[in-house]
Amino acid sequence: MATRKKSLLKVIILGDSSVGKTSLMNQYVNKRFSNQYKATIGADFCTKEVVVNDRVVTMQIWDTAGQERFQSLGVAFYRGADCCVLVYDVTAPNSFKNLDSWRDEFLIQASPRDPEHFPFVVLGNKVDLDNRQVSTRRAQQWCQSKNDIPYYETSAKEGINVEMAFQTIAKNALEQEAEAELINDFPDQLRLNSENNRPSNADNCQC
Amino acid sequence: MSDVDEIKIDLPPLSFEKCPESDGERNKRIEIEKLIADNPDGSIPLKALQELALGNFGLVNDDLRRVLWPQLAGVDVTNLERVPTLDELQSHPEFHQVLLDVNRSLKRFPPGIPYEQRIALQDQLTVLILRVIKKYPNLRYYQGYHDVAVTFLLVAGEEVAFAIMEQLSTTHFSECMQETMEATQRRLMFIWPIVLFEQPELFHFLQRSSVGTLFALPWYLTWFGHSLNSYKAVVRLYDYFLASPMYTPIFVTAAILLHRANVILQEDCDMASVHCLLSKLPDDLPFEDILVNSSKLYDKYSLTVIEKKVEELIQNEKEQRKLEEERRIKYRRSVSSKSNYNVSKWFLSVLTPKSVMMTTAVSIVVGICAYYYKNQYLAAGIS
Repeated sequence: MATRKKSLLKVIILGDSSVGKTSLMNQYVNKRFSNQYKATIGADFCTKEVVVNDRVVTMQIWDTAGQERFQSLGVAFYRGADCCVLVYDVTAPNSFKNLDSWRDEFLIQASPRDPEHFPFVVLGNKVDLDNRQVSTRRAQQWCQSKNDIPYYETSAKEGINVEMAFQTIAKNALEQEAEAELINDFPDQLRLNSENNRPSNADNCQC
Repeated sequence: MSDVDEIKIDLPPLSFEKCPESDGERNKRIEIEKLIADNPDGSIPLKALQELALGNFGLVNDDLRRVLWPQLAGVDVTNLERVPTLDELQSHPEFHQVLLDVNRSLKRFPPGIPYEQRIALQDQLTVLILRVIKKYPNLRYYQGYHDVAVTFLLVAGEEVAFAIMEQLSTTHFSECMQETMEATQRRLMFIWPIVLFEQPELFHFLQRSSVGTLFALPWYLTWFGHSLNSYKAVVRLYDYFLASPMYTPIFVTAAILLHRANVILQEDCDMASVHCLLSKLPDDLPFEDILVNSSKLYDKYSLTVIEKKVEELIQNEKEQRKLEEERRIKYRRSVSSKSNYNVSKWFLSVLTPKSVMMTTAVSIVVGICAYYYKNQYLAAGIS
């Protein structure tokens, strides 16, 4: 089991209501943006095949509800996450302030083995809008204070930096996986089999 | 934000899917119209009305629903409250969240609706929701509540919709509107005993996949309004739920799972695959059959029996989790005791400057002592 190679990376997107979690996921996976997304209730996911470090891996991206009262429902799919994406809206200071609690909540619920070094990526979304309220410096400072979390400013609408951000997400998720292998995780064969048997052509949001 | 008095509009009947009336629908419509005409005050005895709403085609169309939904929901339309303005409600702490969700509810409006009319209706929707949660401060807004409210707003207009939402929020949806979603989460588990009693194989498959109940959360919170593409199917289900006891959506959910058993059992047995399959409701679900089956299930299994089983399941789950945790810890321990890698890692970690200095210091002290005692001994031997 020590040399286990997992071909599936699980990524969780968290952040306040309406910061653009669903839009970012759809822009990345389907290269589409719509003004007509509805509020996410519960959770949906998309899958996308990516090449990282010459390896083809499937990213399973979980999109979640932003309202606080839904947070406690996430436990089931937070577990086994390889990377967590924290999103805020650069025009909504509160959504930036709440990054702290999203991060804490994730660490409590997902309980990763090494919380200090679990890979997060922060996205400041909606940079296409004029009424920006959170400065790049402020966001960068916060990220630095949290063990140097990589930070990207994105626009799901215009597709700015989305691809690059998700490349980093995939890379860091894969590294997290590699570390988990080294420490030798508890084998979970049933799961692995079903994951490895997945058809490998799927870039889609079935849900 | 405009004033409510300004945005008030005469609601033209909103049309979604203009499909021709089937024979069955026509007969049902004529039957209902006759019943309304026969009763001087235009109301139908409640028992008869409930049966109409439950049975095939429900209340058939929105013209009839507009008249009959208030009675079905048990609200008095002769005594409606004044509609406050949006300005009066803007200070409500949930105002922002409600606005965000209402702004993202475009898909719930008829395609092709004039822009001004849609904006006016969205303002009415915001007012409608805030009115309820302002009047009942113990009830908390949740994302999805707006999906319920918009359905009543579009069919019955803002005044009647408020009366209906008020009624439902203090009954059917009160559990969902608690401070946390804990009670709702537990309620959703009521699906499992029904599936277990009806199709054990399906139950065990779903448990093995560890899919949980998240897929059914939007169904339960919105009476399927959030998840179905067909407007006609949504209002049909609302007929059924309005005429049914609380928790009926649980039975409809179970009936859907049972109906789709064959497809589900062919899916890969992992959480993501099963969640994905279940969350997406097929457009061609035969809802009339599913509702008949749901009613049968409701009559067959008492809530007490289901609840008892749920408690058992929760207990089992807890024990299972504990066992797994113990196995995990044991496994990690056995791996680390065997692993040379870990021993060498331990050795390296022990080899810190501090430990090296300590060891050196202790060796020197021991050496001096040995030298001293040796001298003493030798001196004694000579003398």
